[in-house]
Amino acid sequence: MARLNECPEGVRRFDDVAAGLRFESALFDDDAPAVGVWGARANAIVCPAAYRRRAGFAQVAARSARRGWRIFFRSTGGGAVPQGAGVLNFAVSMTANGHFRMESGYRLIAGAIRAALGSGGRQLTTGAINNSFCNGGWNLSVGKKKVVGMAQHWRGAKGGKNRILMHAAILIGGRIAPGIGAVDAIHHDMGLCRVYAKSHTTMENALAPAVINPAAFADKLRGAALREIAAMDGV
Amino acid sequence: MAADIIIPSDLWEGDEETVISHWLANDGGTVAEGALIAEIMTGKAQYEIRAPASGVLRIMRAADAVVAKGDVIGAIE
Repeated sequence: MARLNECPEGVRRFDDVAAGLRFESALFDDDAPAVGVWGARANAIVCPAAYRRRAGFAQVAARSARRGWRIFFRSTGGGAVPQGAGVLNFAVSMTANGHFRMESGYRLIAGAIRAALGSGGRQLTTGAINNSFCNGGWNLSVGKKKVVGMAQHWRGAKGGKNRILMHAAILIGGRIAPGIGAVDAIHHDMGLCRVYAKSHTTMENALAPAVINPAAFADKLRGAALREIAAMDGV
Repeated sequence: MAADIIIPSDLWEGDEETVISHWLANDGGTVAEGALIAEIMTGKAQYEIRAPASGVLRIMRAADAVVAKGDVIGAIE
């Protein structure tokens, strides 16, 4: 297998989300399989870069910043995502052959998360959750409350392959209501659907004691992702 | 001879449609082969579309258009 770039610590902690996003970009810009788990200390909202081109979004961003939730931009798709102490980011980047599909990426991430949770992973269900942030068919939820959202970025590579960044925002613990409320406020300003805290939960609330130790959970995530990648042909 | 800009047919499963997130070059502008000219999004996966040839870009489907696998969204002339 090609060399693997792997974050040696349990969870890489950054003061702000901009540093975390640069960390993910470095994984994506490399040519080897790469796995990273990180978190930001400061509260923020991360939006897809496409939002920046929407009319009036500068004003939306300014209002969010005044509320204490500065907006940053990422290269993957989807919607607004809260960041801060209660959110763990799990990123996998790899170069895949032409048989790999976008659904393959979501299965890889979901599979690694389920494996890392052990028996707790069996409680996760896959699917959209109404009024959740960055909603999509590959959310992971417990009791119809979202705990994980995912997105991807694809770039053509040599030989008909694709370089792919797959990442998940995992609600680990703590108070999620403020971040969800910040996303709801952005949605209101943009004319998008409501986002409710009651549509979400955290791993600590729903699956304790599986993720009481984020650093140990991060190590399990990396190990599971490595096994998924190693099992793939043509990576 | 024009080179079509085509939505790939092998990036995702099923017949789900995709959205042109944005064009990164102007209609009528000159682009180099391999330059990033557009992005599409399906199921929260953002995919980069690169110019298949050097020349003048002709945009046939605007940003935010919903398109399907195999659709021609532009051309390089």
